[in-house]
Amino acid sequence: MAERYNPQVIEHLVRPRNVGELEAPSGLGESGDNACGDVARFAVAIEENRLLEVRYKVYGCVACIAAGSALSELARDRHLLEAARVSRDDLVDALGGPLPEGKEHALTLVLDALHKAFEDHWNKKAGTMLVDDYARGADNDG
Amino acid sequence: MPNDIVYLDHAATTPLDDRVLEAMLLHLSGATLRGNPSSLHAPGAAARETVEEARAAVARLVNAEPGEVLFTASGTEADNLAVMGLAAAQPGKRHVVISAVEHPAVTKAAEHLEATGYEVTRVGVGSDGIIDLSGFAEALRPDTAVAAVMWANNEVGVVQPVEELAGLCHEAGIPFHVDAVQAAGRLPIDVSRVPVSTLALSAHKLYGPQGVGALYVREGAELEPVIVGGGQEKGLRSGTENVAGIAGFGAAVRLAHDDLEERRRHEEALRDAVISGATSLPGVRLNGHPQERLSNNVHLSVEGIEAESLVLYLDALGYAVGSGSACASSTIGHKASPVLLAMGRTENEAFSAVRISVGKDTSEEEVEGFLHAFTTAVTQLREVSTFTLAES
Repeated sequence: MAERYNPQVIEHLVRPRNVGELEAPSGLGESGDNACGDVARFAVAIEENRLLEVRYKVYGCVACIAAGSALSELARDRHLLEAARVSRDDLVDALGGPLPEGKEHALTLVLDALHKAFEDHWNKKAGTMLVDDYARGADNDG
Repeated sequence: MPNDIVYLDHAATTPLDDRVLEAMLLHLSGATLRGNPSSLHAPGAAARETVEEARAAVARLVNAEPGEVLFTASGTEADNLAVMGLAAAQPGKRHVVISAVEHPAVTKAAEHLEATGYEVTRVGVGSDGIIDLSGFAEALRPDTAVAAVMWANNEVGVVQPVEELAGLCHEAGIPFHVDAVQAAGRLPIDVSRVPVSTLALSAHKLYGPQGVGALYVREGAELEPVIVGGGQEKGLRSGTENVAGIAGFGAAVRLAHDDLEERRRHEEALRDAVISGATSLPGVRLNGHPQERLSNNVHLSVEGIEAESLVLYLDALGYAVGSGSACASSTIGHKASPVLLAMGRTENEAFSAVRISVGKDTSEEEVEGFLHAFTTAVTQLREVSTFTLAES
């Protein structure tokens, strides 16, 4: 277990990738708790099951900011299934090795937020599909 | 320390002054025969002379008699010895009074006593970090074995009204300990005017070496040792003296004594420049009393940013500052500073606190550079933050 952050973590802290929000996101996901600690928020733009854009924001420690940045890089411009498969180990590799003791929660925090953004997208999509199906059914009735 | 780093964490530790190093090297070099100060022969006597010269220098810094100073291995040890030693010397009394903003060296010593059956009263502070004087007076009881309040706080730099506090204890006949680790070398300390029983000092906060402390023990104050053994330091702190470290401490306090006013003026000007520049950014707030604070201490809460991120961002830009107190930041977990919570700050304000402490060799250019880096770091980190800055 590392005692200090790897240089890769500091690089993501000073030059975080894909920071911000999206104007019309396909999905939004947030994890953590504003009242007592770290919060991560991901916005995704998805077309034909491809993650075209991802933006994130974090309130939290260095590990959370860096993990969010690394995750956004690993997931962006990939098929949704590949993006959803990005694991804690992939993040650890991208961050140059294990995080210091007590900081591993950052990995779960950002992965949760991204997965919730996907969930939000699927929920919206499922709703649209239902409406479409309903509309098609109504047409058939007529 | 790397030369490309601007060091602004003097409250955590100060760089060793070259003149101090020179004084120490005399006792570390293989060319010098190193005796034990307790030995009777000439090398022993030489070592003893070094220790006694340093003792006299430390005594002069606080206007005490040399015989009232004993050396320890740290400020923490001096605090522990005072709190536990004063309490142990009065076995019939089982009550302790401390402030809510003491250094862990005092709070943990009080907790240790608490675990063995003592009752501990923790006196609160106002939002400016200054102790509630009437609360302190009310807390003192006939069975109070020891009261302890620091001269100046290690996190927020607030200077306490120790003269009044010491007076209250003196009137009540209660031993009073003061942790002056941060204050020594920055504020004039005169134990002939302030009736403290004991007072803790540390060499590495005033350009001396790490690993050496001292405890002033007023003549007649009753104290039991915490470390026992060969009976050094009048039996109050056994263990062979750290002669090189003590020599360095002596050199450091001589310089601190002679340069006190000059250092203070220099640091205050830089401190005020940091305060005014940093708090001109929205959502940046000074913690602790604006005037009753150490000449070198700036303590800020930065809305929307966690301290760790700000400290490491600034480190990457070449500026070393502290997050809260160094002791707290190296412990694992997400624990807000008890000092800031005692001052009524929220947990988020406590998590966003950074300490910038200038030193005698900090330059105006370094402070200007720091303010530029601070603005960059705060702006960039707020871009990442989910936190929305409150309209002010």
